[in-house]
Amino acid sequence: MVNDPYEILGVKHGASEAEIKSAYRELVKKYHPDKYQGNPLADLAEEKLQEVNEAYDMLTKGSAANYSGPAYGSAGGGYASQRDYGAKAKTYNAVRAALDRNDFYTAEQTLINEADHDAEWFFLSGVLSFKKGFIADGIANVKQALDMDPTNPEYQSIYQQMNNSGSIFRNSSNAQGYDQKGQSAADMLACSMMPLCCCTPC
Amino acid sequence: MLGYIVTERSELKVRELGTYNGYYCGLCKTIGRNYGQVLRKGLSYDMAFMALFLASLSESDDDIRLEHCAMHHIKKRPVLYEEPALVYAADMMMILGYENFLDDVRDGDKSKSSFTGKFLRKAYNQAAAAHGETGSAVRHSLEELYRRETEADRKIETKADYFGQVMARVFGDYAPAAGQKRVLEDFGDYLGRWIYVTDAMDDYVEDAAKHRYNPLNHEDDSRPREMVASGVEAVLYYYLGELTKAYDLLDIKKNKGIIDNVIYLGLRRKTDEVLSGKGTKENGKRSI
Repeated sequence: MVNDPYEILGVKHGASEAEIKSAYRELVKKYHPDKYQGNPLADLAEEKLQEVNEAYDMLTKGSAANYSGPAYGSAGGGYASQRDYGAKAKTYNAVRAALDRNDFYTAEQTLINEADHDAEWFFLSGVLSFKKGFIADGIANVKQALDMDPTNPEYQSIYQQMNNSGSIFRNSSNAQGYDQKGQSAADMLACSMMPLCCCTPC
Repeated sequence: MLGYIVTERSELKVRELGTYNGYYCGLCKTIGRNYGQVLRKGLSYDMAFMALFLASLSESDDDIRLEHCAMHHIKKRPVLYEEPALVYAADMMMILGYENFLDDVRDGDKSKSSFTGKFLRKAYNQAAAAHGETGSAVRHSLEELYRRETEADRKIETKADYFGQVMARVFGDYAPAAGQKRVLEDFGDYLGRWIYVTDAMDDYVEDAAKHRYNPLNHEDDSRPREMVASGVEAVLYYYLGELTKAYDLLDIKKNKGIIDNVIYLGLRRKTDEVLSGKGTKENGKRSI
């Protein structure tokens, strides 16, 4: 790797070890594989992460290769699990297996044929919708499942993951200084309303 | 669909505002030079942002010079020079602008003058000649979108996906940044989806009152605005999250402060305003 490790980590030459470590952690969070799981750009994120790890290695001469940082929610394993549904065991396990192999048609048909809409039904419907790209329905259905069974850890975890993207954005936005109370007094100035104000340099 | 990509003005440094306006004025001049004076009035900060965004991937410094302006003739204004991203943004403006014009005419909007239409068509042909594949891909995606809008499909995301495809091409086909094409396409994709849904939400109340089509308004549906907004909020924030994931993978060489401002503050501000009903259309205020 020929690039400047200080530049890769975004720190000045002569930065303290604490500064380097802090910058490194931020970048690991930024390119973390959990964040890009299922994302078509995951390979690019992995490249960036590798670059960051190598740079950190070079500057600290320590072993950074094993540092993986905080995970964003649980890595989304499979949905097929050892759930005891009693009478509906076969049905729901079939749906879970279908979801795991992205067989949306089978999952959908099986759910349609299940007349009783309990928490699990809403949960699996929500997962199906979300996987099909219907974000609003996905989140709404999983929320319904959570309302019906609030202590279910799986529902909590998946609901959190579905909202994750938005949560990450909100956190970054807050870090940039977003003020939820609304815009400041500066925005009430006349020059904020006009595209190109008449005052001097601007 | 314009007016949604804005800065959080109060958080911009004064020099950043100068640069941003330099791109705006630069784009205006480029349109005048390449497409004639009439079409300069279609200029928007949204397209100026796209020019700045694409130019940020190049190392060359912004060359900003003071120039006279026909519209603001009191003082010379800073204008960006010699920037391929401005030429590209002007071309894309003509392609998207003409498609938008066709859409309005198709919807029966009589206020669209055929005088502008003539200029737009000529401009479109010129731009499409320079970007053949982009033009036809955009046309194809929009046709799919219009078809979905006339069907009884209730899902906003399906329609948003098609507009996402449009913006994916517009961002991804910028030749000087071909090395980051995949990421640019992903960024454009989610930005496009965000624009589509934000626009639909912003128009919801007015469209319902005037019995006009709105992608969020289902047949026989008279849901109150708040209810629609609460469903849309998760979708919009999801799109914002995804586009920032792509943004994180881009190699931004300059003007990152301005872009961060727009993405993390401006887009969020616009999202919250539209969700709470204080969007640009209701207040009638023009935003930057």
